[in-house]
Amino acid sequence: MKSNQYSMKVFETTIDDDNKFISFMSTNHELFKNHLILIQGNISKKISDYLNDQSLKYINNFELPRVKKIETKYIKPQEVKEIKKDHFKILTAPLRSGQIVKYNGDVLIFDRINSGSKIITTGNIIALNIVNGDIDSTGDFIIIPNTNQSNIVFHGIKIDNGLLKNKLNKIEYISIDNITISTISKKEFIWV
Amino acid sequence: MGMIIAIISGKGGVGKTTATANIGLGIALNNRRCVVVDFDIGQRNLDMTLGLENRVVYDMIQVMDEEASLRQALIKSKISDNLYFLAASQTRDKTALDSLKIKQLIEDLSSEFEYILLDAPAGIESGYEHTIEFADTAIVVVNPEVSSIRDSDRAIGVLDSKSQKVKDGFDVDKYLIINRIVPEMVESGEMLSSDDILEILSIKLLGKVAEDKGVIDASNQGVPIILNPKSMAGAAYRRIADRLCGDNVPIEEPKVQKRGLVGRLKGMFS
Repeated sequence: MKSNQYSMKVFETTIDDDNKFISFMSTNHELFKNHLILIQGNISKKISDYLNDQSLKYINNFELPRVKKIETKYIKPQEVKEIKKDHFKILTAPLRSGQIVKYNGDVLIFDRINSGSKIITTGNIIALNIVNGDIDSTGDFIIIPNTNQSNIVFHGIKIDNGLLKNKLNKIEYISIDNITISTISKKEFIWV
Repeated sequence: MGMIIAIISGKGGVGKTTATANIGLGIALNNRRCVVVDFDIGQRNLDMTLGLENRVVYDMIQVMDEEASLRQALIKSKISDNLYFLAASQTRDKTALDSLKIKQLIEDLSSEFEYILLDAPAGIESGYEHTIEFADTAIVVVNPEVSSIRDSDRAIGVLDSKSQKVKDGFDVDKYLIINRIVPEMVESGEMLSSDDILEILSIKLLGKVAEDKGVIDASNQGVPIILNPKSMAGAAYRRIADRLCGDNVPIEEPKVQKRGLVGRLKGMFS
């Protein structure tokens, strides 16, 4: 009798959403092309077609003889929708009506944010001049002067403009049902 | 090389065409060669404001399509030998414009004239984008009201992203004319002050023009208000034209006109 012994890497998963799985596999194809993919639970034709198409080896509903689980830090597949923070953006020109700034990271604005413009970030916003445009942030905080016209949405919650009374206010995220608004400065800033 | 100035506003009806006609004539009266071009294809108005309605034979679309020469299409003003006018087509629409042809036309004009004024259409669509594409200076005409200011703000935003000069890495010079100021309303706080408008738009001020009922009659007659020595608006346009010609004329604030006894009596009975 002639025999060989191999050790092999198995990627075990369950599928909730076909499309999510396919996009995950296609971004991480390089990582799993030599793995055995073990899918627990039923799989649709779409998935099996996709796996055959990509010539990935897979088995379905199989109980492995568990010897040793590879540490998770060894296989570190990329998340499909990982939010990558760029860095930090400084805007020195006025934001004019109709302009939209979308940014993954923190934004510091020195000049005016005019009515009809919009800033959308995943980070923090610090606005130091007059704000009449709209602001949408999912960061840790927003620092903003008092404003009547602006439409401020923080973590999906519309901030009441009447709460922003002072010259410079800080809207801070503590938990999903705890957003605080505090005063930073009651006086006008004087830039030297 | 001539100076290519686009006159823009975003919103319609704020006085772009009136401003173009008056500034063009004012520059010509300063002995500079000036051409005004109507870019409002399909809605030609500048010919009437300049009183050249019956002189239009060829328009700029025909020049660009080489159906007529530039010399044939340029109309000399009755008032000044230095002022020429190039009409928009009344029968075509804004889709007739083409970047390459506009560039050629503007180059031809700037080799002959010192000032080329382009009267932009209202809005920020293709007609507007073509007008500002090759301009190196823009004059923004704004009325002291929020809708006009927001539209101008948007128009400046489009200018800063679509203009060829910006794409080449330079800044387009932008100047502001605040038109139709009613000094009484500014004084009583009902109308936005010039300082507020300048603060919002953050561009340089070129002039302030008071509301003047004479402008309507002047447009109807085809005699620009700048020729009326008694009109405050006319004087304001004269100063603006002088500034564009390089004279250092201080900005004059439109004042509340004090009425005499006769005027006050008239006011009581009207």
